[in-house]
Formats: sequence, structure tokens, C-alpha cells
Amino acid sequence: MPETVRMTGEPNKGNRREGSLSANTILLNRYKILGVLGGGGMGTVYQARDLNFPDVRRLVAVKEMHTMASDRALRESTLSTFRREANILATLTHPTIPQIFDFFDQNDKAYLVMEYINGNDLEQLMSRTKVLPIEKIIEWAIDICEVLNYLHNQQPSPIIFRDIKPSNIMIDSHGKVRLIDFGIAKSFVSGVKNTMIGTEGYSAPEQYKGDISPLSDMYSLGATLHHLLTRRDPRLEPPFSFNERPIKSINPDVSGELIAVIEKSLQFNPKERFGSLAEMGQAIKQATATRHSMVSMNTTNNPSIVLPTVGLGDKNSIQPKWVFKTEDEVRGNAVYYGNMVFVGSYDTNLWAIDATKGEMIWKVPTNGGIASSPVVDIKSGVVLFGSEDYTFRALDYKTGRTRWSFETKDRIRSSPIAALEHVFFGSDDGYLYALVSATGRKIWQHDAESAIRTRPFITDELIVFGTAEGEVRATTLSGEKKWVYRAKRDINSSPVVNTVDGFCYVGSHDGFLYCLDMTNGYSSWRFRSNGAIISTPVLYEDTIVFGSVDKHIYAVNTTTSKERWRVKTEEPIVSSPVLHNDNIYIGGVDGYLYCINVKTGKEKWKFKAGAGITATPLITQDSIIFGSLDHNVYALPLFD
Amino acid sequence: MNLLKRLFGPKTNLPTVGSDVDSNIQHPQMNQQNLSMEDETLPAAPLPAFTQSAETQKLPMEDLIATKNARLHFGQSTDIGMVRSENQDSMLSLYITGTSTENVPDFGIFVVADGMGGHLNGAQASAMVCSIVCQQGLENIYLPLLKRSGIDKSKTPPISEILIDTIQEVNQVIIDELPDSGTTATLCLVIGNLAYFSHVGDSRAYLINNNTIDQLTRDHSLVSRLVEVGQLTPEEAKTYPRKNELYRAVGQSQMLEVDAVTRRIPANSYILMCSDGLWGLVDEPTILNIVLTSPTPQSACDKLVAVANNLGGTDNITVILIHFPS
Repeated sequence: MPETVRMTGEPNKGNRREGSLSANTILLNRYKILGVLGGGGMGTVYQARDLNFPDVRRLVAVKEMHTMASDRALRESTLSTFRREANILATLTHPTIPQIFDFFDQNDKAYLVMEYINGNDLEQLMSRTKVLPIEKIIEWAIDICEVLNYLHNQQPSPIIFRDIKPSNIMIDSHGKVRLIDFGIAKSFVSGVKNTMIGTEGYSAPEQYKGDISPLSDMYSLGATLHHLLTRRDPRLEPPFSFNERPIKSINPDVSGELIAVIEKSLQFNPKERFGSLAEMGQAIKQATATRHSMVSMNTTNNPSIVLPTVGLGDKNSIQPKWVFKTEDEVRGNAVYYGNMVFVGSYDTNLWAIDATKGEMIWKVPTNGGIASSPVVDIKSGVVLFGSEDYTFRALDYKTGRTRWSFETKDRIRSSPIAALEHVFFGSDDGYLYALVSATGRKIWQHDAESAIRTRPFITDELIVFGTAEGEVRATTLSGEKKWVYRAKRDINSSPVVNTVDGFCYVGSHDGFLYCLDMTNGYSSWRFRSNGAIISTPVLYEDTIVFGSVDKHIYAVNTTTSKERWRVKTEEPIVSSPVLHNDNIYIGGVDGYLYCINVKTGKEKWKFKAGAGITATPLITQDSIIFGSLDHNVYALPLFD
Repeated sequence: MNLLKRLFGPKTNLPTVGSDVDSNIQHPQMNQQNLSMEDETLPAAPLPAFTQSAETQKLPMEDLIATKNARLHFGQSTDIGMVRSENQDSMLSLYITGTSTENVPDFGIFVVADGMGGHLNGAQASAMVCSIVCQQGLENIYLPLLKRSGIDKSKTPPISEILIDTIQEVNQVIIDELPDSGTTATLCLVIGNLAYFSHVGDSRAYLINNNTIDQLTRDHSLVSRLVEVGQLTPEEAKTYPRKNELYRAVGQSQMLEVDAVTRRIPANSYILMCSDGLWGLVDEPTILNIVLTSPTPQSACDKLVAVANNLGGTDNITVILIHFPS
């Protein structure tokens, strides 16, 4: 592939280079060269002193056009470009645009004498600082919008700058923005295709087709702002990939309003950007104004739905259908059967609640807290659950009467799974048990060598579960060890298997979400979060969604193992997400139940309970039901 | 599979990756023939059909045995093309298969790399991808599998991470030893029926299944980004002047992001890997048609290269085709 080339997007390692003029050279008997300022788009820029002012040290910038090209046509074309820059600058008067003083030829070279700007360009500022104050960036952005708008409104045709990027934006000694290097700026005649010139990384997609309009400058400004706020250099990233590096996840200090403005300016389709730079400047001003007025929201302990102002019309106060109070924290999930909701509480009771009215039907006490979730075996009509009193019980779902019970040798925190008349669960005693649901007769027990606190996942061939020693184990349906994968720390997240392609997904306290090959337990890939993953993942097409103790909810592409989106919450996430239509419902230790669009990661609404939510919400025909550490079980109306 | 049977049934060794599909096939003749095998009567007394016409009439078990022992097949072909003076593409195929009580899954490494840069450096860069990937794949993935030691322990990173690290290692070696050169790298590591792809540049991997062809890798080129963001149609992309500009290649910058794709490969499907010398000239329907109508993967590869040459052969052409058995 000898003709394949790398894109010329790499940042310049050093901007300075030697020019052809040495210090103390005097041009036109007037401009005394002091040194090289930098290499611009079309030549070298020198600092010089204007000798016409002998009593003061008046400094100017002298831009030298290299006209070394031997090809006559090429030489003419570069010269005319240079003349164009001079002509453009000569017609403009704007405090942000450097003044032009002179233009002349000497020794086969062309020179442009301009106002000397004492300051640093934004690329230099970025390399010298870790962060720039957001307020400053906003101020500069508004000024750049203003000057671009001025250029775009030139008569008879707009001037397109075409090369907005950090190194072409100077901040002078007064802290003011100055636009430099008009080398490729061009009058724009609508409808005429232009050859593409610009800088990789900041140029708008349409510029690569030669379609240039004022809105291309808008894209480049958006790209520059994105770079300033995230410090992710677009020249090192795939072209037009800003939306893959959301500002919010890199720099949480930037307001949502400002991000929205930048995102709009970076739309691929120019029609979806702002109509003009004036409009964009106005939007930035508004974004910063609203930011200050939205400092705090009224927070009360009363449960209520907090809705974003967009998207749901006037449904801004949705109340729970019912709230049912237990006597202690509700940590496990509720299950639904026969219009009844069954849920365990740390008050030692298993509660049966009328799903419509939210009233108690029965409760059955055990001798320990219930941290796990029950399961209903429909055929034998029993609710099955384990308790911290070491005992696994089967209750008649209608009456709560005990059908049978089974003693293990330690606490039961693993939630059971019922499949084809059998129930499988683990215990802190290190065994996985298989019992007949109807009678409690033990079929087998598997020695996992350490406590099991996850819900087993069962496929046609295997049972998978995690252990406190950090092992993910797969046994055959007869309880024989098939494979073991060892993570770095304990596993409390229950494994989830895609039975179609045979991959198992499980989180660990080591912060990773693992993807394992169900045939042999080999690890295919892992995704790192910055905290323990206790949340059990949920699959949606080729996306896996889960929460982390690092306070984020993540969605990861299962084929590429790349993050699709993440949502930041206030506190750790230990609850597991549940999927309904295209929405994910998940609780947070911050007390919120979040409803998030699984495709976009956009929050649709959230509901505040009185304390943290660790359980997986239960979706019924018309309700979302979940318990909270505030002792309550909530039923919210399900609406889409 | 019936859950109850599994719960109460005799302790059975579950089938290995390579043969799990076949073991479920119920064949009325199987049991009878199994008995005769155990009696060891088959070699001594061949069935009449065998002696009469071995070529046209199959033994009763022959198809069954063939299905059970069917393994992945591959072909590979490369050519300098009609225009270039040097073939800077490199390719590598390695496949290890077997059956034993140790249940080591079948293992394969397949690599296509398309080098760039003058003075033979491009060819050397692409060659380096092949040799380092093969070496690391054997050392870090296959040998631990054979030793039954490392791969399921926490010490060993996930397979896709090993592959990404390998390409990053190649990247460093090329930067150090072959300045001013670069290469694409598309590699496929097969374990059982699971394929791990690792990819940089604009060589491609396709999955061919059910009469459809899907591109599994994403080209790291300016033109494909312009298509992805809706600025060019695929038709316009074919004639776009800056078609050869990559924004990511091995050996170009210290920080190299490598794409990873993990896919379970369905039975009776193909993986096709190729350099842009093929896909730049031969459209996907034609590729699909040649793959599905050629008698063997090798003949398909040869034909694909010939067709690309016939259409101008403007670049080096390399193709690997892997068939996964039904």
C-alpha cells in the first residue's frame, strides 16, 4: 500500500523553526528583524522593530512568504494566496483581528507587516496548564463567535476563516482574544465548490468535500472548545468523533447547558447546527446565565418524582400508587405472582402485599434478616427464599403457610433460581444446593469452597454462580464442576448468560465486568469501572448495562467491549438494572430510582425515595415496584 | 436438552467445543454401529457395500463420522497486483486441532497486514505483525491452554486484552526499528467456535453466514469516517480522492488505540480477511458469490485475487478465507 498515507493530523511538536532572515536584518530600511515568532500556514513569522519610530520600541510582526517553488504556476498561486490574506486584513477593522501595516516584495519574497500581538496562543496555553478556568473559555468563546460573525457578515460576500483551531487563537497580554493567520481565509461565494484546506481534527466534515460555509467555522469553534474543556486532542482521535468523548464524562464541571451548545455546533449536518455564529454566541450567553440561577433544587424527604424539564410535558409530579412500610431495610428484590408482591425485609419477615392496593396479605417471620430475593415456583404454588437464619423455606403463596424448610450450615444471602420443578441456591456455608421445589428433597450439593452470595444462572447445560473467593463457577446440571474462572476479588454480582451466543457477564469487587466464554470459562474481555461491581448486569441486544460503586451506570458494547454511555449519579450503585421497553430502571444509594433510555443513556426521569435503593426494581403490567433502605416498598405507575 | 434428564441422568462428560453440535445428533444407525465397533468386527468383515463400490456408496456411518470430525478449513492467497512493483502485504495462518481427553479447544491464528512506506520498510512492517502476533499468540494463549494452567486464572488477562497488547507491542517495535513505515493489522484468533478480532487500519474482516456478508471491522480511514457521519454515500466514497488516508495505523504514533471484536461464529459460516487491494476493487456481492460457489476456501481465495487483478489490480491483494464446519 505505498500510496496510503497517514493523515497529517499529528500536532506540531515544535512550532518554531528557523526562518531565512537572521536577526538584525533590516527590511525596506524600516523593519529590523529581532527573531522568529513561529511558522504560520504559509511562511515564517518574525518579530521586528519599526525603525520609523526611533524613540519608542514599536514592535511589529513580519510574515514572510516562501516563494521558493520553482514551478511558476504554483509560485503564482501561493503569492496570490498571500496577497489575498493581505487584502482581507486590509479591509477589516475589528479589535480581535490584527491590524495590517504594510505589504511589499523584496528579494523575490513577499512580506506582510502586521500588528505584533504579545501573548500566547491557546495551544501554548494548553501545554502550559492543566486546566483553564471555564469562565475564561466561555468569555473567549463569546468573543470568537462575535468576530466570526463579523467576518461572515462582510459584503459583498462573507469571509470564512476556514482554520479555527487553538493555535490560531491568541490571548493577548490584556487577556483578550485575537484571531491570527488569515492565510487560508477566503471570501465565500455560495454554491461554488472549494478545494479543502484546513486542519485535520478541527475541520467540519463537509469541508472534506469542499463544501465550505460559515457553519464550517462554527464546527471548528465547537471542536476547539471541546479540546479546551476535555483536553483530548482531536488530532489524535478518529475524525469527527467528539460525540464519542462526551464532555460531561471527562470534565463534570462543565454545565449541561454549555455542553448542549457545543454539541449542537458539532453536528455532522450543518443544518442541525446553529443558524449563525451570532446565534451560537447568544446560546453560550444564555447557557451561562441559566447556570447561575439553577444552583440548587428544593430537596425534601418526601418521596417525589423529579422530572427533567424537557420530554415529559407537564407530568412533573407523579406520586407513587402506594407505599408499603416494613419494619426494617428492604434490600432484596420483590417478585410478583397472582396479583401479589412478595418481598423480604431485614425485619426478618417475608411480606406478601396486594399488588393493587399495597396492603398486607400475610407476613411470615424467620429468625434472621432477609437480604436475598424470593422466587415463586408456579407449578407447586410456593414462594421460595433463604434467610440469615441459615434456613431455606417454601411457603404456600396464598396463605404463607410453610410447606417445607431446609437447613444449611450458614447464612443464606444468595437468591434462588427455580427451573423445571427444582430450586437452586447457594449458602455462606460454601455449597450450592439443588432441591425439589415441591418437597424440599435435596438432589445434590456442590462444594464451591467459599460462600455463595449470587443468584445462580441456569442454562440448558450449566449452572453458573460467583463466590466470595472471587470465583465464577460453572457446574453441570448434576452439580459437577465444569470450569472455574478466578477474578481478583469476591463476586456478589450474579452472572448473566446470553444463551444465544454463549457468553457469561459478571461483575466483581475488583471493579471489572467480565465476559466469559460459557464453553470453557475463558475470559474474553473485561471492562474496568472505578469501583466494585455488585450490580447484576442486564442485556439489551448487544449492550450490557450495570452499575458500579464508582457512582456510575455503564452501558458497554458486548462485541467491542467499548463503553456506549455512562450516567453519573450521586452515590454508589449496587442495585441491578431492569429493562422494560427501551428503558432501564435502576436504583441508587442516593435514594433515586433512575429511568434511563437504554439506547442513548439519557435520563428520562428519576424518583426520590427516603433512603438508598439496593434492590432491582420489579416491573409488572402497570407498576414499578422496589424496596428501599427507608423500610418502604414503593409502587410507581409505569408510564412510557 | 431435557433439564430433568441432566439432573438425574448418569454422569456424562460434556462434549468439547468442536463436537458439541454433533453429539446431539440422534442417528438410528449409530447405536448399532457402535456395538459392532466395540465387537471389533468392522475391520475384519467390511460391509458388502464397501467392496462393491467404495466411491459411490457410503458406509452407513461415514457421514456421521465425517460430521463429527469436521474441522475448520482455510485458504489464503496473495498477489502483487497489476500495478505495484512490490508486495507489501503479509499474511499468516495457523491452525491446531485435535481430540483427546484433555479437551484442549481447537486454536487458530490468522493475520492480514498491509504495509506502507518505501525501501521495503512497508513489507517488513507487515511481516513483523505476522511474526509477533503468531509468537505472542502461541506463547500467551495457546501454550497456557496446553499446560492447562494459566488461562482461567486471574494472572492471565482476557484474550482480547492479550491481542490488543500484542498489536501495541508490534507498534512499538515498528516505531523503534522501522521509522517512516506503517502497516494495517487485522488478526483473528480462533478458540473453538469463538473468534477474537483485533484490528487497526483499513484491512477488513467479514462474516459470511446465511447468504449475507457483514463487515466486522471498522476501517480507520478518513473516507469511511465521512461515510459514517453521512457526508459521503458509499458510492461517492469509491471515487473520493483522499481514499488512502488512514487516521490510525500500526507504527505511526506511540498511543495506538486497537479495536477488538469478539464473535461466536455460527456453524457453516465463513470469516474472510483481506487487504484493501481486494475490497477496493471487488464489491461485497461478488465476494459473497465467489465464496459460496467455490468448492474449497483455497479456490475461493485464488479466484478473488484473480477477479481483483482482472479489475485492474491497482494494489497488492491478500485474502484469507476460513470455513467453520456445520
